[in-house]
Amino acid sequence: MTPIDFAPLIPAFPLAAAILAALLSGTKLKRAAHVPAISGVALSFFVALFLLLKCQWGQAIAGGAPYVQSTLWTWIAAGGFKVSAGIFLDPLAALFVTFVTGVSLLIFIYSAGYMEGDYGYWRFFAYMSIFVFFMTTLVLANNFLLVYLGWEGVGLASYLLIGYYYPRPSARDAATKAFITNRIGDTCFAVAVLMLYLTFHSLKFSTVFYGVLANPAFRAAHATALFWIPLLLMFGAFAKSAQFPLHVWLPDAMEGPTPVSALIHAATMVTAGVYLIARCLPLFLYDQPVLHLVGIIGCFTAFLAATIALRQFDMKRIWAYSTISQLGYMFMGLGVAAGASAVFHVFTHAFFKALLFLATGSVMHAMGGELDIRKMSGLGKKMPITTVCILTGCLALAGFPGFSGFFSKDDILSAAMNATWGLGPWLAVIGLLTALLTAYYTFRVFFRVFCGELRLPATAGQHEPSAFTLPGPQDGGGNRRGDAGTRGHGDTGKDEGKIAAAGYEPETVNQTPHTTIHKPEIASHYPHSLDGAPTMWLPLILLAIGATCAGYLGVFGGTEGGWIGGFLGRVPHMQPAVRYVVAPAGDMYLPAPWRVSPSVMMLIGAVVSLVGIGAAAYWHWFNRSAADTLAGAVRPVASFLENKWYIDELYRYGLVRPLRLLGHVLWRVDRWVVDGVVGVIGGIPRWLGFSIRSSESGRLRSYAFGMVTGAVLVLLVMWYWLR
Amino acid sequence: MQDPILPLMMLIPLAGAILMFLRPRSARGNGGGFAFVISILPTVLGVILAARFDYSHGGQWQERFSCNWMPQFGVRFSLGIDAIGLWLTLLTVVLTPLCILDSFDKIRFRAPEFYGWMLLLYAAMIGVFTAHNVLLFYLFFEFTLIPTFFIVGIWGHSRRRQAAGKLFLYAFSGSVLLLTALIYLAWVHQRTFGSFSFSLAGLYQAGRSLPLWQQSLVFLGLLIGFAIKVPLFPVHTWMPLAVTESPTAGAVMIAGFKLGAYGLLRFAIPMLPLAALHATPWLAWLCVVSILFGGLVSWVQRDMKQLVAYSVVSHLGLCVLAILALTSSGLIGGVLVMLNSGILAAALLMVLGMIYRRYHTRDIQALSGLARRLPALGFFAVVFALGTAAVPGFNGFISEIISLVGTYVSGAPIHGGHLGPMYAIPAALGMILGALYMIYWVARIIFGPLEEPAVETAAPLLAAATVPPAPAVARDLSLREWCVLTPLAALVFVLGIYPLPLLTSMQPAVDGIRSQVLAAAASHPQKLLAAAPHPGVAGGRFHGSGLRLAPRSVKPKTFDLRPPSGIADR
Repeated sequence: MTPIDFAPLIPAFPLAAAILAALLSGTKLKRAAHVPAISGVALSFFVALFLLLKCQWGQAIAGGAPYVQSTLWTWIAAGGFKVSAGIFLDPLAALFVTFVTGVSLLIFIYSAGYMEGDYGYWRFFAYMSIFVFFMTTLVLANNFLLVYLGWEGVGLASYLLIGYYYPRPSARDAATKAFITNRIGDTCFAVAVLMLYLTFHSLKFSTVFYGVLANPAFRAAHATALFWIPLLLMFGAFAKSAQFPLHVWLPDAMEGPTPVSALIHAATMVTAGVYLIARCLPLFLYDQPVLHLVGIIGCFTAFLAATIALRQFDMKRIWAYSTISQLGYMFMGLGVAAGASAVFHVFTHAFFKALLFLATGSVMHAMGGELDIRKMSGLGKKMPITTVCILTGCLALAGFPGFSGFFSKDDILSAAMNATWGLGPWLAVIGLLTALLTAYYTFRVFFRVFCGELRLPATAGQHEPSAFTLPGPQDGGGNRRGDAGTRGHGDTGKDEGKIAAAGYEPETVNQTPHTTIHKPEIASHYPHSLDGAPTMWLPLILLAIGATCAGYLGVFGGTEGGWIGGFLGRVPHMQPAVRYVVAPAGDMYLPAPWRVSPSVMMLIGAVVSLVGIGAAAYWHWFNRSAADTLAGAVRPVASFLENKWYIDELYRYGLVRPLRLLGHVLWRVDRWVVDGVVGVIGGIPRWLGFSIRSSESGRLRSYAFGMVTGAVLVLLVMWYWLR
Repeated sequence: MQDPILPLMMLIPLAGAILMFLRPRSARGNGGGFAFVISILPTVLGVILAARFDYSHGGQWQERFSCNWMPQFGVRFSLGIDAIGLWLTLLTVVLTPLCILDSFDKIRFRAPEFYGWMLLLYAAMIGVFTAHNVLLFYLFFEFTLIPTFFIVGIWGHSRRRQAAGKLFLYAFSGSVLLLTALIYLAWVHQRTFGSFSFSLAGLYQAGRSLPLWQQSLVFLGLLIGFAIKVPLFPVHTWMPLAVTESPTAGAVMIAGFKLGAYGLLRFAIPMLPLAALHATPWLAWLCVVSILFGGLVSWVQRDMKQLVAYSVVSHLGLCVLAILALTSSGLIGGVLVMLNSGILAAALLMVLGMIYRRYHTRDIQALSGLARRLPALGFFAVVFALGTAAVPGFNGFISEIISLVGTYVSGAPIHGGHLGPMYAIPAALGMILGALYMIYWVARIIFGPLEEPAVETAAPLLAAATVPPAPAVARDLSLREWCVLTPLAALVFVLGIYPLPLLTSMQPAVDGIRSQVLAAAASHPQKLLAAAPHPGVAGGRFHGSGLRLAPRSVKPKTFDLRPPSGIADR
């Protein structure tokens, strides 16, 4: 057996785990649903690691092809349209699948503590395992339709998980929004798949990327298709990776449990778009305008999301916008053909973003579901482990020198700065400005929440209210209109009696007695650490180590791009040289105005990061009132940012409402015009037959009799006539 | 060689129906159990049929049964199935018993009669999919109308009279044209070959020998008859009304079985290939309109059954579009839509029936968050909704993607056919709409805070005798309801994950139809010249691949009518 024969096990384990978790639901073991889930993803991770280390990449490349693939079984065969399930493994897929399963494993372990005692415990782990199953399928697939399966599959899993607290209207709406937005991208992807099939007569990666594509005559003959395919794939990737204009679903996706946010933002969902474009880079490299569009939109999204993050107050929402912004960097990297740099940033981002979300989950857990950064302060003393971990994550996100985000972000910026494409340096400048904003909003959160005087929200120490309380049978008689689950985060304390009446038993948190802390002065004497159970802080520490050290993989161990650059460089279009040989397609591009060496870029990046952190420290730690004054001074801008550039409103009034209106209009047209016309035509015989109306007795039996008699008569007449 | 299975499959429900009608009024029970047992027997025969079927020759008519019936007219009682017929027959024998099982607690009023009509409808449905003689097909096709009419008219909801009347009016006007066209073809056969014939091969021959203008007239007759039954866009309005007003079982029988599309595939297109090819672009636009129109209208419905009905209109647009594409994958996709949309529509309608049974309402705005009260029902509803929204891994996806591929590649030189991206891309937008109406429905009904209409406000729409009272607090699925929904959910997954046996067995059947159509059109003395480059043709054909940005200079075009060669789409 060669190592690739083990690859199908990577998606198989989580799938089996999901089925097992679902089967446990009916038994007494349903509280142990995390056991199969965690073991499943752990086994996947070990197989992935084994593949990463043991695959004979060098030999495969020496043998001519920079990949290994295997076909498992035929999935669809209709006409010439034949699609099989198979594995395609190259360094890109191997690296992706390893960190996806690795980070997922840590998130799973954390979830076991975080979700303990939840109403839908088994359901949660079944969905999470399905999520990993689809993501690994997506990464390991050997053809576009199988990628599409994983692609929609992660959309489905995220839909189920965002809507996990489905009785909450906000969760339901967020899930719906995520699914529909993703479906728009998916449809673009599907059309791209149709085009690929017609162009290449195959959907296999090996045929598409390593076949006729290199032939200039082929490219000339299919120039139109080769323009539309990358464009549509780009829109597909933008929906999944939350890039403008399809980014609107991701901030709302925090309605799911926090580990879900971590999984979506770090390991599974949003990285799929980057993976897709990195995978399809050969198609993009031959179509420069689309590639550049990827870079421009990525850069714009990075800036847009960073500005919105400046004026948000919900911690998870801020991290959500930071994800969009960081994904923008990745697309910027792809746009300047620096595939390896983009993947490097995905890799480091997975660690620090998972860390930030999980640590925020710990805060949320301790604060009883409250996440408004205006309502808490000085948590550093109460949650030492969480604070250290979140600080690591913030430093990495802010690009503080020496932390992982610093190296990977810098890699992209210097690639953009030195791109042969004239707009590249300008993208890099905007990228640097965004980095400044990033450092500022990241540490705005940190200094607000973890530094300064201690202030806890009223809900601290309580368990977050369950979304699943149900009106009991005692009030089921007259008025069965339930009110369960209408409360969002933090809206607690009013319905305690009702919850208890419905048999809801809140569990103890952190081995502390279930006491309610109503006043900050009591909270300040609260004796226990709020860090949570070891299953919750151990993964945090591991992720913190990753967030600190992952960056060095891209610096040491290779000539350009470190170990990661060298490893990914075995894929032809991931080589660092690619970005230097990609020439602009015409004269419309300006020549690069300047050249900046990577080390100088690093220096600039470090300065930018420190300035941002310093500004945050001044306004949000030492002199918080000054920040409010500042916000008041630029009131219109602040409210513009608070309302997220009004993009949601634009969609609502520009797209959804008109479309629904159109639906209503069409329905009226259907009822009155289409049906009416046919009704008039159908009415003519009735009018003619008015004279024999007396025979219409209105009884169904006599109609039936008439029908049967008529049919018999027709047959008899025919028979006599022809005899 | 006479194989008795197919006639038995029809005779058993027929005999059961007669017994139900003759049943003394004093008999105990309401006959549901007996009807269910009777309806299961053809299912058992269906299993035998599936086991005996020679899948490697899926294009040949197997299990033939033939005897003289009206030799003067060339009408034989001739039955048989090829792979397409096999799968549709199997669908019938799976769905109908589930319908009957599902009706146990819903029909309290003249129940034996109801089951009698159901069994009669069952026999007719099997007849439609197994008839190998055109007049026989027509009789079964028409006969399905009578039980449907009574089921809607007697056991339906408040507007049942109107619904039944409209159903009848539409179907009957269509069938008059259909019958006229078929008799004309038989007469042509007599004129040309000297004897009346309603045999499939005979009418194929007769139809193909006609000049274009006559083919077109006959095709129009067949088309109107079948399009009403499908239903396609302008003549669809009877369907949402009938589905909404019908009891669950009747709605499933109306929306679950795609008689019209089957008729187009089996009869109209192969009989009159030249006319069909000429009409293809126009018809295809109607299909695209059906897809988008059905989807958008479905999205704004408040009545859940109406929502499902319009979604069926949308799916059937795709089905007919894929058939018209006349590529190998398109035809397979079309048949798959018939099967999968049948399963999903039936399943959704049954779920709605179960909700109605509990709350006496079909209004989307009266219900919310049922997953909290009825978790198992919610689970099934989500599964079927996702299937309908064509999520990969569910059966709806397979049919949707194959149909789209078939439509998209149609028109490319090596694939044959005359459609192309101009049709496939708008049809693909149906995927977004499918997600819209299904996910909104799920969000509204299944998720969200629990809201149930209070019992006293849930006034029955009908006389109290016909509708069983709603329970005080809705209970989750009963064992019987589990038994109804589980097989459907299993089919949704199995056909989504492993559709290969279906696809490979249908391949020879559709290739047979396709090569006949293309060869017949090509060998026709009237060369198939696109007389005027109307928008459908001029904009719709793409040579090579992908979209053209710059409009090509319009020049007269000939259709590519070569029969599939070695590499063509195989």
